[in-house]
Amino acid sequence: MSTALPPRRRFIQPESGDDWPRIAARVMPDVPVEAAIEQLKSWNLFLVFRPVSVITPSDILFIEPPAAPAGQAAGT
Amino acid sequence: MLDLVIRNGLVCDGSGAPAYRGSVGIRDGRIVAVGEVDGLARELIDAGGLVIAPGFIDPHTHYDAQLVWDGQAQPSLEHGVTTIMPGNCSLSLAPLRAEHRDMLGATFRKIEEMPKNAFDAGLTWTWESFADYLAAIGPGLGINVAPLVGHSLIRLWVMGLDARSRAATDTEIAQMQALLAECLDAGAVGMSGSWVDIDHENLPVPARLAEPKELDALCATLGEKGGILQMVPEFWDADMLCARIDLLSDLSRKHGISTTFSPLFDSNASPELVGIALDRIRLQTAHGARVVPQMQTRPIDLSFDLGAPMSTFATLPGWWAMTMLPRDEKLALLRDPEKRQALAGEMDSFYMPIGLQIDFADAYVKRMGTPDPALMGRRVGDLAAERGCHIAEVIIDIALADDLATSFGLDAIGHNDDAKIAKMLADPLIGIGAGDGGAHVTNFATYGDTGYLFSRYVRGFSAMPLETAVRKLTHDVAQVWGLRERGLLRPGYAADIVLFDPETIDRGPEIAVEDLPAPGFRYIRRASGIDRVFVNGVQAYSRSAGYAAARTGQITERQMA
Repeated sequence: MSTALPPRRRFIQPESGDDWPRIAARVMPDVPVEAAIEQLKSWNLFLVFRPVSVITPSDILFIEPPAAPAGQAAGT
Repeated sequence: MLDLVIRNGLVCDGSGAPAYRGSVGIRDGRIVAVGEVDGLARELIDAGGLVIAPGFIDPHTHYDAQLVWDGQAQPSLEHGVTTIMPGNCSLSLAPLRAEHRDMLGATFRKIEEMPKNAFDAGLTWTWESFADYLAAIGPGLGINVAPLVGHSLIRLWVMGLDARSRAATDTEIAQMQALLAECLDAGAVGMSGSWVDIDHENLPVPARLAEPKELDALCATLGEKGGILQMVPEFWDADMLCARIDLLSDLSRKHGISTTFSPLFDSNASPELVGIALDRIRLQTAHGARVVPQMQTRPIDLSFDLGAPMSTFATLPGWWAMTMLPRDEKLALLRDPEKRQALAGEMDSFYMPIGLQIDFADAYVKRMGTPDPALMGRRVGDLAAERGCHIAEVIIDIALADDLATSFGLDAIGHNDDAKIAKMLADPLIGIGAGDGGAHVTNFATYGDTGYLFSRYVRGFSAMPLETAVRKLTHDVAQVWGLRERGLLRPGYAADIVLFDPETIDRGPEIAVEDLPAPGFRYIRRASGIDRVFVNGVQAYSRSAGYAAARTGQITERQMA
């Protein structure tokens, strides 16, 4: 049984052999690849700043920015 | 006739029920009566009003190597721990082919901070299979062992060194499932994995190369056999941790398994993290998942020296590389003004990306090869101010003058808001664990969390009653990990028993002892307030006589699925 609770923050798990361009093309197809990569990297700094920069298939990769702190409206 | 009756105690049976005056009768290693015990016994022990409780169960240890040379897992046994779970964090010592021993050993020593000379001197590799590892340690066990098998080891066995670099094929996944089943049949209580750990070459451990379908398939095997899954998540970030809780929840529901993760701790760097994680676990639990976070009771201490690589330097590449150098090259580097300046600059921009706030100025001189009374216990920041130099230079100069033997301490750098932690530990969703016994032996003492729970949070903060603390250390663990007939004082259960004084049970101060199988030291804590410990009905430790010669520890049995 699986329960589809909405995630706290949407994420994917990379496919084997994925790199930033492939992931960007898949999850943000409507955004130019370079811009999508920069966006994704900014949401996943932990992956960017690893001692050895590799993406593994067991990683989680956020596909949206962090939520604003409770009580704080967007843009404030 | 009974073998033993322990009478005149405060029976705290592990269920959380109110304690009461009574006795416990034991025959053939099993409890046969609790409360009012009739009949003759070969031996009678007067507990003198002390607590009679089930032996404590420590679900997160790395005693895999130590068990080869010390089947009592000292000093855990003297703290009342009668069952330990080694094999956490994707790393066990079996199943392992001979050709992978050097590689796995280097990974194990790096992640768990075990001195190479002790590891090499103490380990006589006589096994490859999981069953043979258990057979190798079995005769010497003075403590019960409920081992996990590491996912990284399962991958290595099936895929060879490819396990470090690629995903598995469907055929290989099927082979891993068969191997996991074999390990579970041999005595493993579950499998451990990691989403975080990096090996001795700074590469992800093999378990991290698994695609989700591989982990899913292995969890199907755990579900068939009644095994637990332990994982190390990205514990320092609330969003990542909640994502991992969701993944564990899905695996738990889909395969009907218990899952646990470690560590979960509080830190000023992320003060809301534990609450966010608990809210997520509460939600997932309400939807049928079994996800148990493990929280340590003690504050987080670290230490470091310049003699060997230590986790404290993991995000200081220059310092890390320096500690890896051969001795002569290291000494030359530490005396080179330009290199010293570079090291100082790196320390200025230090960042510990795992939810801890470290200021090296707060480090103090903890241990010296040749103790200097003028330096022992002194804060590095104060010494730097007196000397008019950078804190890095103080650290380097003291180390050089002491032949690199000086150890610098950083105490209570996280998980140190006692009032806040008292509430967390009392939460029914929180499991007590993540102690790391047998690991980080020259970095900090990983022992005595059980005593500290009573001294700090039962007596000190009244965070929970005695009975709840005992239940959290016994029945709760046995139930989640599926240990058969352990964790309660009940007729038919194994006679794993601890007698302790609820007014004095505690962990002692951190001390360095030289009891490794090679020259060197490790940090431990002695117990206080523990009077006697019984393992399967036989006294294994007593306050007056110390450790007994008895070797009555067992590989625990698992509740069947």
